Amino acid sequence: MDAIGYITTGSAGVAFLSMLVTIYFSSKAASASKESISNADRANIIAIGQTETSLREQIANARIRMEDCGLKIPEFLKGRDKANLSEEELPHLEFLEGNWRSSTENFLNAYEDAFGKYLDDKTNKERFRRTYINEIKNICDPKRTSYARLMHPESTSNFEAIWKVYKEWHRHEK
Amino acid sequence: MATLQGLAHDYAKRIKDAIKSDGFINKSKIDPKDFINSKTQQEIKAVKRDIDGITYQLTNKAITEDDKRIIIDEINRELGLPRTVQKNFQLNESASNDDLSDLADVIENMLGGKK
Repeated sequence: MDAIGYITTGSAGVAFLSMLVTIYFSSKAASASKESISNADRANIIAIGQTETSLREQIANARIRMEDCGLKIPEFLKGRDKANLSEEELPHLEFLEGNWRSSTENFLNAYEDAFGKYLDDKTNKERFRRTYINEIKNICDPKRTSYARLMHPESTSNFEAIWKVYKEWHRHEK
Repeated sequence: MATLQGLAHDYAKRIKDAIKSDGFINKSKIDPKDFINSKTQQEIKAVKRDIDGITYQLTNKAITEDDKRIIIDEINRELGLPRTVQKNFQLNESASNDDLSDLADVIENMLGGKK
Protein backbone atom coordinates (compact mmCIF):
# COMPACT_ATOMS: atom_id res chain seq x y z
CA MET A 1 0.00 0.00 0.00
CA ASP A 2 1.39 3.39 -1.00
CA ALA A 3 1.17 6.62 1.02
CA ILE A 4 -2.14 7.68 -0.60
CA GLY A 5 -3.61 4.30 0.27
CA TYR A 6 -2.58 4.72 3.94
CA ILE A 7 -4.03 8.22 4.03
CA THR A 8 -7.34 7.06 2.50
CA THR A 9 -7.62 4.10 4.87
CA GLY A 10 -6.69 6.35 7.81
CA SER A 11 -9.33 8.92 6.85
CA ALA A 12 -11.96 6.22 6.46
CA GLY A 13 -10.98 4.87 9.88
CA VAL A 14 -11.29 8.30 11.49
CA ALA A 15 -14.65 8.87 9.76
CA PHE A 16 -15.92 5.49 10.98
CA LEU A 17 -14.69 6.19 14.48
CA SER A 18 -16.34 9.61 14.50
CA MET A 19 -19.58 8.00 13.28
CA LEU A 20 -19.45 5.53 16.19
CA VAL A 21 -18.82 8.37 18.63
CA THR A 22 -21.72 10.33 17.13
CA ILE A 23 -24.06 7.34 17.43
CA TYR A 24 -22.94 6.78 21.03
CA PHE A 25 -23.51 10.37 22.08
CA SER A 26 -26.79 10.72 20.20
CA SER A 27 -28.12 7.59 21.91
CA LYS A 28 -26.92 9.02 25.26
CA ALA A 29 -28.67 12.31 24.43
CA ALA A 30 -31.89 10.49 23.51
CA SER A 31 -31.96 8.59 26.80
CA ALA A 32 -31.11 11.77 28.73
CA SER A 33 -33.92 13.54 26.92
CA LYS A 34 -36.36 10.72 27.79
CA GLU A 35 -35.28 10.91 31.41
CA SER A 36 -35.66 14.68 31.46
CA ILE A 37 -39.19 14.36 29.97
CA SER A 38 -40.06 11.80 32.63
CA ASN A 39 -38.61 14.08 35.33
CA ALA A 40 -40.60 17.00 33.94
CA ASP A 41 -43.78 14.88 34.02
CA ARG A 42 -43.09 13.91 37.60
CA ALA A 43 -42.41 17.52 38.54
CA ASN A 44 -45.65 18.51 36.82
CA ILE A 45 -47.64 15.92 38.79
CA ILE A 46 -46.06 17.14 42.03
CA ALA A 47 -46.82 20.78 41.11
CA ILE A 48 -50.46 19.89 40.34
CA GLY A 49 -50.72 18.09 43.70
CA GLN A 50 -49.24 21.07 45.51
CA THR A 51 -51.61 23.46 43.73
CA GLU A 52 -54.63 21.36 44.70
CA THR A 53 -53.46 21.13 48.33
CA SER A 54 -52.88 24.86 48.50
CA LEU A 55 -56.31 25.59 46.99
CA ARG A 56 -57.93 23.33 49.55
CA GLU A 57 -56.03 25.09 52.32
CA GLN A 58 -57.23 28.48 51.10
CA ILE A 59 -60.82 27.23 51.10
CA ALA A 60 -60.40 25.67 54.56
CA ASN A 61 -58.95 28.91 55.96
CA ALA A 62 -61.74 30.97 54.40
CA ARG A 63 -64.23 28.52 55.87
CA ILE A 64 -62.76 28.85 59.37
CA ARG A 65 -62.96 32.65 59.14
CA MET A 66 -66.56 32.43 57.92
CA GLU A 67 -67.48 30.15 60.84
CA ASP A 68 -65.78 32.47 63.31
CA CYS A 69 -67.51 35.58 61.94
CA GLY A 70 -70.85 33.77 61.74
CA LEU A 71 -70.78 32.49 65.29
CA LYS A 72 -70.27 35.99 66.70
CA ILE A 73 -73.72 37.02 65.43
CA PRO A 74 -75.87 34.57 67.47
CA GLU A 75 -73.54 35.16 70.42
CA PHE A 76 -74.33 38.85 70.22
CA LEU A 77 -78.05 38.52 69.46
CA LYS A 78 -78.61 35.92 72.22
CA GLY A 79 -81.94 34.91 70.73
CA ARG A 80 -83.16 38.50 70.28
CA ASP A 81 -84.61 39.78 67.04
CA LYS A 82 -82.64 42.43 65.18
CA ALA A 83 -85.60 44.81 65.46
CA ASN A 84 -85.46 44.64 69.26
CA LEU A 85 -81.89 45.88 69.59
CA SER A 86 -81.15 49.22 71.22
CA GLU A 87 -79.67 52.16 69.30
CA GLU A 88 -76.31 51.49 70.91
CA GLU A 89 -76.35 47.84 69.95
CA LEU A 90 -77.32 48.25 66.30
CA PRO A 91 -73.96 49.64 65.09
CA HIS A 92 -72.18 46.70 66.67
CA LEU A 93 -74.45 44.26 64.86
CA GLU A 94 -73.88 46.14 61.61
CA PHE A 95 -70.15 45.75 62.14
CA LEU A 96 -70.52 42.01 62.74
CA GLU A 97 -72.81 41.79 59.71
CA GLY A 98 -70.19 43.52 57.54
CA ASN A 99 -67.54 41.11 58.78
CA TRP A 100 -69.83 38.19 58.04
CA ARG A 101 -70.54 39.34 54.49
CA SER A 102 -66.86 40.00 53.85
CA SER A 103 -65.95 36.51 55.08
CA THR A 104 -68.61 34.99 52.81
CA GLU A 105 -67.17 36.91 49.87
CA ASN A 106 -63.68 35.73 50.82
CA PHE A 107 -64.96 32.13 50.98
CA LEU A 108 -66.38 32.41 47.45
CA ASN A 109 -63.16 34.10 46.28
CA ALA A 110 -61.24 31.00 47.39
CA TYR A 111 -63.53 28.84 45.21
CA GLU A 112 -63.24 31.31 42.33
CA ASP A 113 -59.47 30.96 42.54
CA ALA A 114 -59.71 27.15 42.66
CA PHE A 115 -62.08 26.92 39.69
CA GLY A 116 -59.91 29.39 37.77
CA LYS A 117 -56.97 26.99 38.21
CA TYR A 118 -59.20 24.13 37.04
CA LEU A 119 -60.13 26.07 33.90
CA ASP A 120 -56.42 26.84 33.29
CA ASP A 121 -55.64 23.08 33.40
CA LYS A 122 -53.52 23.49 36.51
CA THR A 123 -55.28 20.68 38.37
CA ASN A 124 -56.09 17.04 37.77
CA LYS A 125 -59.45 17.52 36.06
CA GLU A 126 -61.12 14.26 37.08
CA ARG A 127 -59.94 14.32 40.70
CA PHE A 128 -60.90 17.98 40.99
CA ARG A 129 -64.38 17.30 39.64
CA ARG A 130 -64.89 14.43 42.08
CA THR A 131 -63.81 16.61 45.00
CA TYR A 132 -65.76 19.77 44.25
CA ILE A 133 -68.90 18.56 42.47
CA ASN A 134 -71.10 18.75 45.56
CA GLU A 135 -69.65 21.96 46.94
CA ILE A 136 -70.27 23.92 43.76
CA LYS A 137 -73.91 22.81 43.81
CA ASN A 138 -74.46 24.49 47.16
CA ILE A 139 -72.68 27.65 46.05
CA CYS A 140 -74.83 28.07 42.93
CA ASP A 141 -78.09 26.98 44.57
CA PRO A 142 -80.44 30.01 44.51
CA LYS A 143 -82.11 28.72 47.68
CA ARG A 144 -78.87 29.20 49.62
CA THR A 145 -79.52 32.75 50.78
CA SER A 146 -76.02 33.11 52.15
CA TYR A 147 -74.41 32.78 48.71
CA ALA A 148 -77.32 33.93 46.53
CA ARG A 149 -76.57 37.58 47.28
CA LEU A 150 -73.21 37.24 45.54
CA MET A 151 -73.97 34.49 43.03
CA HIS A 152 -77.37 35.52 41.62
CA PRO A 153 -78.32 36.63 39.09
CA GLU A 154 -75.56 34.92 37.20
CA SER A 155 -75.31 37.74 34.65
CA THR A 156 -74.18 40.23 37.30
CA SER A 157 -72.19 37.87 39.49
CA ASN A 158 -68.45 38.49 39.69
CA PHE A 159 -67.71 34.82 40.13
CA GLU A 160 -67.32 33.87 36.49
CA ALA A 161 -65.06 30.83 36.95
CA ILE A 162 -67.48 29.28 39.46
CA TRP A 163 -70.39 29.69 37.04
CA LYS A 164 -68.41 28.39 34.09
CA VAL A 165 -67.43 25.22 35.94
CA TYR A 166 -70.93 24.80 37.41
CA LYS A 167 -72.40 24.88 33.91
CA GLU A 168 -69.80 22.42 32.65
CA TRP A 169 -70.57 19.90 35.40
CA HIS A 170 -74.29 20.41 35.84
CA ARG A 171 -75.43 21.34 32.35
CA HIS A 172 -78.07 18.58 32.34
CA GLU A 173 -79.69 19.77 35.56
CA LYS A 174 -82.20 22.57 35.38
CA MET B 1 -71.47 -7.44 69.41
CA ALA B 2 -72.74 -5.82 66.22
CA THR B 3 -71.64 -7.39 62.93
CA LEU B 4 -70.91 -5.42 59.76
CA GLN B 5 -74.02 -6.92 58.18
CA GLY B 6 -76.11 -6.05 61.22
CA LEU B 7 -74.92 -2.44 61.14
CA ALA B 8 -75.54 -2.24 57.38
CA HIS B 9 -79.06 -3.55 57.91
CA ASP B 10 -79.80 -0.85 60.51
CA TYR B 11 -78.35 1.90 58.30
CA ALA B 12 -80.32 0.68 55.27
CA LYS B 13 -83.48 0.71 57.38
CA ARG B 14 -82.85 4.33 58.44
CA ILE B 15 -82.42 5.37 54.79
CA LYS B 16 -85.50 3.39 53.72
CA ASP B 17 -87.58 5.09 56.44
CA ALA B 18 -86.33 8.51 55.30
CA ILE B 19 -87.17 7.71 51.66
CA LYS B 20 -90.64 6.66 52.77
CA SER B 21 -91.12 9.79 54.83
CA ASP B 22 -90.09 11.99 51.87
CA GLY B 23 -92.68 10.20 49.72
CA PHE B 24 -90.12 9.09 47.12
CA ILE B 25 -91.81 6.16 45.43
CA ASN B 26 -90.04 3.27 43.70
CA LYS B 27 -89.48 3.85 39.96
CA SER B 28 -90.76 7.41 40.15
CA LYS B 29 -88.54 10.22 38.88
CA ILE B 30 -87.57 12.95 41.31
CA ASP B 31 -86.09 16.32 40.61
CA PRO B 32 -82.56 16.82 42.01
CA LYS B 33 -83.88 19.96 43.72
CA ASP B 34 -86.36 17.83 45.68
CA PHE B 35 -83.54 15.64 46.87
CA ILE B 36 -81.41 18.52 48.13
CA ASN B 37 -82.18 19.13 51.81
CA SER B 38 -84.64 16.22 51.83
CA LYS B 39 -84.81 13.92 54.84
CA THR B 40 -83.34 11.19 52.65
CA GLN B 41 -80.28 13.25 51.85
CA GLN B 42 -79.82 14.23 55.49
CA GLU B 43 -80.14 10.62 56.60
CA ILE B 44 -77.63 9.41 54.01
CA LYS B 45 -75.17 12.01 55.25
CA ALA B 46 -75.84 11.05 58.87
CA VAL B 47 -75.26 7.39 58.00
CA LYS B 48 -72.02 8.33 56.23
CA ARG B 49 -70.86 10.21 59.34
CA ASP B 50 -71.85 7.27 61.56
CA ILE B 51 -69.92 4.82 59.36
CA ASP B 52 -66.86 7.06 59.49
CA GLY B 53 -67.13 7.12 63.27
CA ILE B 54 -67.36 3.36 63.83
CA THR B 55 -64.60 1.89 65.98
CA TYR B 56 -63.74 -1.74 66.74
CA GLN B 57 -64.86 -2.75 70.22
CA LEU B 58 -61.67 -4.65 71.07
CA THR B 59 -59.03 -2.22 69.83
CA ASN B 60 -61.06 1.01 69.89
CA LYS B 61 -59.48 1.83 66.51
CA ALA B 62 -61.34 3.38 63.59
CA ILE B 63 -62.89 1.00 61.10
CA THR B 64 -60.81 0.17 58.00
CA GLU B 65 -61.72 1.36 54.51
CA ASP B 66 -62.31 -2.27 53.47
CA ASP B 67 -64.85 -2.80 56.24
CA LYS B 68 -66.52 0.53 55.37
CA ARG B 69 -66.82 -0.71 51.78
CA ILE B 70 -68.41 -3.98 53.00
CA ILE B 71 -71.03 -1.99 54.97
CA ILE B 72 -71.74 0.36 52.05
CA ASP B 73 -72.02 -2.54 49.59
CA GLU B 74 -74.44 -4.26 51.95
CA ILE B 75 -76.51 -1.06 52.28
CA ASN B 76 -76.56 -0.73 48.48
CA ARG B 77 -77.72 -4.35 48.22
CA GLU B 78 -80.47 -3.90 50.82
CA LEU B 79 -81.69 -0.71 49.16
CA GLY B 80 -81.68 -2.52 45.81
CA LEU B 81 -79.65 0.19 44.06
CA PRO B 82 -78.80 -0.68 40.45
CA ARG B 83 -75.14 -1.62 39.87
CA THR B 84 -74.57 1.44 37.67
CA VAL B 85 -75.72 3.72 40.47
CA GLN B 86 -73.55 1.87 42.98
CA LYS B 87 -70.52 2.30 40.73
CA ASN B 88 -71.10 6.04 40.47
CA PHE B 89 -72.02 6.46 44.12
CA GLN B 90 -69.75 9.26 45.30
CA LEU B 91 -70.58 9.13 48.97
CA ASN B 92 -66.95 8.55 49.89
CA GLU B 93 -65.31 10.70 47.30
CA SER B 94 -66.47 14.28 47.25
CA ALA B 95 -65.76 16.96 49.76
CA SER B 96 -68.65 18.84 51.33
CA ASN B 97 -69.58 22.31 52.48
CA ASP B 98 -73.16 21.32 53.35
CA ASP B 99 -72.90 21.98 57.08
CA LEU B 100 -71.26 25.35 56.58
CA SER B 101 -73.91 26.28 54.00
CA ASP B 102 -76.66 25.30 56.46
CA LEU B 103 -75.00 27.38 59.18
CA ALA B 104 -74.60 30.30 56.77
CA ASP B 105 -78.30 30.19 55.88
CA VAL B 106 -79.26 30.20 59.57
CA ILE B 107 -77.11 33.29 60.13
CA GLU B 108 -78.54 35.01 57.04
CA ASN B 109 -82.02 34.34 58.38
CA MET B 110 -81.05 35.90 61.72
CA LEU B 111 -79.87 38.97 59.83
CA GLY B 112 -83.09 39.17 57.88
CA GLY B 113 -82.22 37.44 54.59
CA LYS B 114 -80.78 38.88 51.40
CA LYS B 115 -79.19 42.32 51.20
